[in-house]
Amino acid sequence: MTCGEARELLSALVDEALTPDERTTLDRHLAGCAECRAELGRFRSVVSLVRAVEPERAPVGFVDRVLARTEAAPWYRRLARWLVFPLPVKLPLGAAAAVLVGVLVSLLYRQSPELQRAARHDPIPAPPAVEAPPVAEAPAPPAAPPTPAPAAPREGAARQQDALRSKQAAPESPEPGRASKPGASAPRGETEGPPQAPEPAAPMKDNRESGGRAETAPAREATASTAAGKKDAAAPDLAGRLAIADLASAESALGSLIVRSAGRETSRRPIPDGLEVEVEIPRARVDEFMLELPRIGRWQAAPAAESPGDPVRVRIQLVR
Amino acid sequence: MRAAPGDDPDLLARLRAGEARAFEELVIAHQHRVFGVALRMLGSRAEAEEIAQEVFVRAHRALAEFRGDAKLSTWLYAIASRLCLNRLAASERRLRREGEETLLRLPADADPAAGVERREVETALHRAIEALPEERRIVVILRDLEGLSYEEIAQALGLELGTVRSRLHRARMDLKDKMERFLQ
Repeated sequence: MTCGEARELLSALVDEALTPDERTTLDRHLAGCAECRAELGRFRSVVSLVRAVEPERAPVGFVDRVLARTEAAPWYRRLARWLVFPLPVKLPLGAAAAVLVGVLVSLLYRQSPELQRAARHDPIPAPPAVEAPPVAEAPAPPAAPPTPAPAAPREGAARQQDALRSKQAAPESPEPGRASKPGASAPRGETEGPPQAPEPAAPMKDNRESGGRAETAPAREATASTAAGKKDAAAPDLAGRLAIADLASAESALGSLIVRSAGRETSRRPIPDGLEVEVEIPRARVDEFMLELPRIGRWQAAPAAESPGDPVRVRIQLVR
Repeated sequence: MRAAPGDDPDLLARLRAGEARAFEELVIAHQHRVFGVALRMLGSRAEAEEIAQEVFVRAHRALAEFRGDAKLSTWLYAIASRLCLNRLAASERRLRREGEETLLRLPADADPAAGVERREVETALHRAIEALPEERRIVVILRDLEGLSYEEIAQALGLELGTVRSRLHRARMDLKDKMERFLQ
């Protein structure tokens, strides 16, 4: 057997697909030919490499699209999938539900004098979560209205609480001009929640009496800055914590996910127990990116920006 | 070699009985493999999805005619291979290059040479597979990426066993030549 004939059989040898005769002849040749043995080694290496390629995954929603074309799934299953799965559908639905709840609470509040009176005089102390900073350091705006002035709120109470927390994180003097005309002078009038928009229950009652006025204007500013300054380094469009087991492998998986999503990493810094990474993902790919994230670790999303930019800025805290 | 779920006789019986849920199970079980073959053959995610959808739509239509003398997975691979090769042969096909998006991925420990970035190997292997002539590429995809036997490949592609063997050998020789510098 010549070297050329032997090499013709290497592929089948790797697959154990030679006839017994071929195998015997080839083994005899290999025993006496170092070059063909080396060639066999390279052959095995390249086959192993190809076999190590990770399997591809069909895009999210593929099954639904096939079933829609074959109409194999009953309508209620398709409806359930439609409601549950695609993020582009689920997000607006969630936002719409939040708006609806806010409007209902606002109407109820406005039409119930008892509720308004209770809001003013309820002696229940504020919970510690919304504890007001020293009032003296935050001068109240001069022409603040004495009673809440609810308009159409865009978000529910959770957003209010977030705004309050962000205010606590960066206490600063409220802008008197804005505070004096709630809901009218902000940059995005109709999307702006009124500062004293209906709270669901007792929280902040005391704040409204004392430091409450100082709370509200910065809260409004925080919302406004989300709208106006999307590129502000302090305000990513999406954020959250990714609880992971191993930082190195999570970093690598995240890196690969960023590349697959045509995004880029814009910054990273160490934080206690982990790493904070900021990335930019094209808006068209961000749903896919966010769906893949939970494959790396347990993802806990923080409240998202109302209208993300393009690219969408995502801040991820990789925490062990 | 990767296992092929969804090949049980019970599923086939339910499919033939026209059970909608059975077809859904079939799609769920084989979607990634069918999409994977289409992606590696066509190099475009959008086109791969289009073809992969078409594979299942055609399978759905032809279920009644499926005699069951091949595995369901082999049958789906056969439809996928034929649709991909037809698409590649179509003169109106636009050449779509998506670069990073369709790059294959290797596991973290698959770096064959010390000091060489895995990324570099992935890119080289991706290009080497992409550059294979189509009739060789489909054979190496079915054998080494999807784990089909020579007999199953012969069945799926309608080829003689000897032809499968020789095309596979040529394909691997091509890959070996292109990947030579990464091989120890």
